[in-house]
Parts: sequence; structure tokens; C-alpha cells
Amino acid sequence: MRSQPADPVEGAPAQEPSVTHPAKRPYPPRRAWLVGACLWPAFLSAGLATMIFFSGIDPETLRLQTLPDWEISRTAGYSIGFLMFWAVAGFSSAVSVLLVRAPCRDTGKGSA
Amino acid sequence: MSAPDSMYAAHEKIHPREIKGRYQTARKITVFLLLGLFYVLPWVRIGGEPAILFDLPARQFHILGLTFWPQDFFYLTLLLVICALALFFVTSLAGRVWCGYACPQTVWTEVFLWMEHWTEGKRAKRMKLDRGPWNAEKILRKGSKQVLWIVFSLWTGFTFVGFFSPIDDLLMRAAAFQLGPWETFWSLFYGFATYFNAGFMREQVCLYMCPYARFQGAMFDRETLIISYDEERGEPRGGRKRGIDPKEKGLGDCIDCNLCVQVCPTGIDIRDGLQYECIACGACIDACDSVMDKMDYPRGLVRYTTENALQGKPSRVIRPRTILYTVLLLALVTAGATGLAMREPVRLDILTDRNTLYRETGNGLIENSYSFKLTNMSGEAHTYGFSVEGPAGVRIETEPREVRLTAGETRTIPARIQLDPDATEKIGGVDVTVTVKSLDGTDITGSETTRFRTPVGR
Repeated sequence: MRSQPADPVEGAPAQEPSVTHPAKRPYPPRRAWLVGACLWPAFLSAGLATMIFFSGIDPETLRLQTLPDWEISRTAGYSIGFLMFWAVAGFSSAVSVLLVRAPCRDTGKGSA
Repeated sequence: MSAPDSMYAAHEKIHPREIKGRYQTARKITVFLLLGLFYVLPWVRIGGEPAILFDLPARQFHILGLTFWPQDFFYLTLLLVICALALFFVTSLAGRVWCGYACPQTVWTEVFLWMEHWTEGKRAKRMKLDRGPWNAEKILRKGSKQVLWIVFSLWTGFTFVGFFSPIDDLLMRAAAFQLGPWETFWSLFYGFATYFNAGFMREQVCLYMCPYARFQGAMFDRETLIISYDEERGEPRGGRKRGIDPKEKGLGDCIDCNLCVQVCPTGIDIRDGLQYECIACGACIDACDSVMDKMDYPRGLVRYTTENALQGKPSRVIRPRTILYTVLLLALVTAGATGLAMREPVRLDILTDRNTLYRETGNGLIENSYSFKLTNMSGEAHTYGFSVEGPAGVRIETEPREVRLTAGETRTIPARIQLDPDATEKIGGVDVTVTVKSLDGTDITGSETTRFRTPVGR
């Protein structure tokens, strides 16, 4: 509800009671966004990478040359490939977020 | 939730007010059109074959009777480049129409808002419901909203998988709970993404997640259509009674009713000027126009306009930026269409034998060995034969001489090319062109040039 001091920006003009003004909101709004900021671009990159990679390479050929005894369908191959790309890109984004944020010099606060 | 002293503000849900008007009608039509395409296309069949099927397990894309193979990746790349350019072109002309009307995020959010409206009522009622205690009515209303949302999301996820696997067969198997693990995974994944993004994230996707929202400004210039509040005309804003001449009270045309803010799906005040949060949906225009009508003022206090027009300068549609985009788009579309029209549904790749450069046959000819990789990219089976062009007397032998390939089949065929060494003056090698031709009167041909190696020092 609006009555709580949810908006921490000092001097934010009292808006209409019904209005949340994004322009007056600090950025980013929530810590969970950092997770989103890692996962979402990674998702896009993984989609692109999957498309390029598998247009050139048939997961079936890959399977025959590496794990011929396993039964992995093409659908499974694409899916595993996508999830792998996503994980790698997400990890990279996460490290970027970690490095971009200023190191925490306060003692007692654990998060960096 | 974050602590009060955190630098992260708690998100407050935006309850956009419903509004009717020209732009909202246009949005409704595009929602029906685009979502109609999404939900209907997988079911459409042309001549018994699905009109659209991205058959990943078979590594073929079927699009309106055309079949595309991994070898056609070029066309996909070209299509993506064309789409990106078209987006830039439209943005430079008309601003963020993509965001307001066509972006899946906007379109699905709109549908989720409709369902919220049906179950929870109008804006004021929804806000009251959110503030109120969890009584029977709240549980019933919120519960039925969730049911609608979840069913719609599940169907969306199912439809998404239907683009990759024939959807009628998929439905039968889904009804019998026999979907494969990955089909289940992806339909739930897509369904959940729809539910989460359109139900909860909404404008936050545009504000915090969308890369396009951040760089679209680069495509803007002073001639780009934007939604803008006519400050000159509107200010000073203030309430007044109907029928009073605002000039007498020293007021502008804006009655400060705040309707433009209440209808905004991203919760901004368009009167603060152009903001990156604005997705150009035109809700504020419709809201303001309805108020202007009531006040008997001319419409357009908030309107689509350009920066130049706002300052009384003429706006041009034709300018270097738009000319450049048009030329590039035309060139790429022409290239793509020509390529598609001339695309031969057969592909020949030639691999040279790496073990022996050449061999001399008993009758004094030089022979090179190759592997031909032949792919039938057409929709039906064909029989193919080979011929070779090069220096006089060059001849080709394949094993077998004629090859029959089913639709989509790829086969490796051993081949030998022979040449009289006296036929060429060149030392080391000469280029020869192998042509593959269908032998059943369909006149499909493809060719590939390769190196014929001859002895050095003769």
C-alpha cells in the first residue's frame, strides 16, 4: 500500500495516490532482478547459439561419434544443447554482474 | 521483499484503467490477429501437410509448402536480418509501434489483463480487492482468475510445441498422457513463461528486461512519430468546471484529471515528456481524447506527433535514414526472393580422397577419387545421374551410375574422375565441374567445382 514508505528516493514528489512512477523509482527495483538480468540475456544468447550450432551440426552425428551406445533422440539433443548454452551464458552473466557491482567494504554485511 | 533502507524499491502492481478509443480498438484487432495466427497456424494444413511445421527431429522446416534444410540456414539468417532491419525502419518512422501493438509481451499481457478484468472487475474494484482481506469473494475472484490464466498458459505452451511436432497427433498423445519428456518439458516451460511474464512481470519486462527498449532511442530522430503531450496547449493545467473559458482563469487545456496516468500500462505520466518506459500503446491518447470530447475541447492534447511538429516545423517521412533502410530492405528482400526462386532442391558436396593424390590407370589416364555427398532436398524421391565438365576427354564414373534418393535423403557416393594427362598443360591440377541432374524429367540440376590433381613435373 502507498501509505508505507516504500519509495526510498528522498524528495520524491508526492504523486497521485494511485500512481507508481517508474521514472522516480530507483534502478534496479529489486535484487531478484539481478537474477533476471543474468538469466534473460543468457536465454536469448542460448537461443541464438542453439540455432547456429545445430543448423550446422546434427545432434545425431554428435551422438554417434561420442556416445553411440546411448539412446538420445534429436529432440533431446537440441534440448540438452540449449540448456547447456543457457547455463554457460547464464554463468558468464552472473560473473559479470558480480564484477560490475562495487565490492562491499562494510564489515558485517556478507553480500557483495 | 527488501528491507526499507534497501536501494531496491518494492514493486507495486500497476492496475491500468480500461479505456475505449481508436488506438485501443486498433490494439484489440492486432491482438486478435497475432494471437489468432499463433493459435491457429499449427492446425492449418495445405494439401494434407502442415502449413507450418518446424520439424526439428527430421531437421526440416516446412513453411507454406516449401521445405527448408539445415543447408538453407542462409535464408534463416537473411530472414532474421530482414526482420531486424524492418524493425529499425518502422521504429525510425513511427516510433515504438512494435512495443505497443505487436510485441508478444504486450499482446499476451493484454489478454491476461482482459481475464483479470473479467474476474476481478474494473480498476477501482481490483485495487479495493487487492487491499481488502482474504474473504470468500476475494478467494473466488482471484481463484477464478488463476484458473483462467493457468488454462490459457497451458494451452499456449501446448500450441508452442505444436509448431515443432504435428499438433493433432500431439493433442491425441497429450489426451492419453503419452507426451514425450521433452515435449512435456517445453510445453510447461513455455506455458510457465507466458503465465509469469504476462501475469506478473508485465511492464517490468519492458522496463528492466527488454534490450530493444534501451537502444530504440538510437533509431529515433526529430521526425519520428512519438506520443506527446502538447505542453504549450495544456499548461498551466488545472481543474475547472465545464463551460468555463480556461483563458479567463489563466489555464491551459489540461484539466489535470489524471486519466492519462491511470490508463498507462507502464504507469508513467506522459505529461512529463518522452520517457523510455513509454511503449507507445496510445492508451493515454484515447483517455485524453475522451476527456477533450466531454469538455468540448479539440482532440489531440496528447497525440501522435513528432518533435519537429511540436515545435511548428515541418516533418518529413523521406529522409536519409528512412531512404537507407528502404534501400537495404529492398535489396535484401530481392536477394532472398531470387535465391528462393532459383533454389535447386538438390545439393552436391565433393570431398576429395586425402590418401592418394592421383593414380595412373592401366591405359595411361590419370584418375582422382572422390566422395560425393548428395542430398535430395525436394519433397519427393528422384533418380540422379552425374556428368563432368573440364578439359577435353574428362570422364566420370560413380558407383552406382544412377542414384535414387528418397525425399530428404543424403547419401555418400564413391566417384572417380579420369583425364588424359596430355589434355591439360597445367601442372599440378585443373578445375573440373561435376553436375548432378535428375533423370526423371523433373530437370533438377546442381553442380559443384572441384580440383582434379595431376602429376607435377610432366
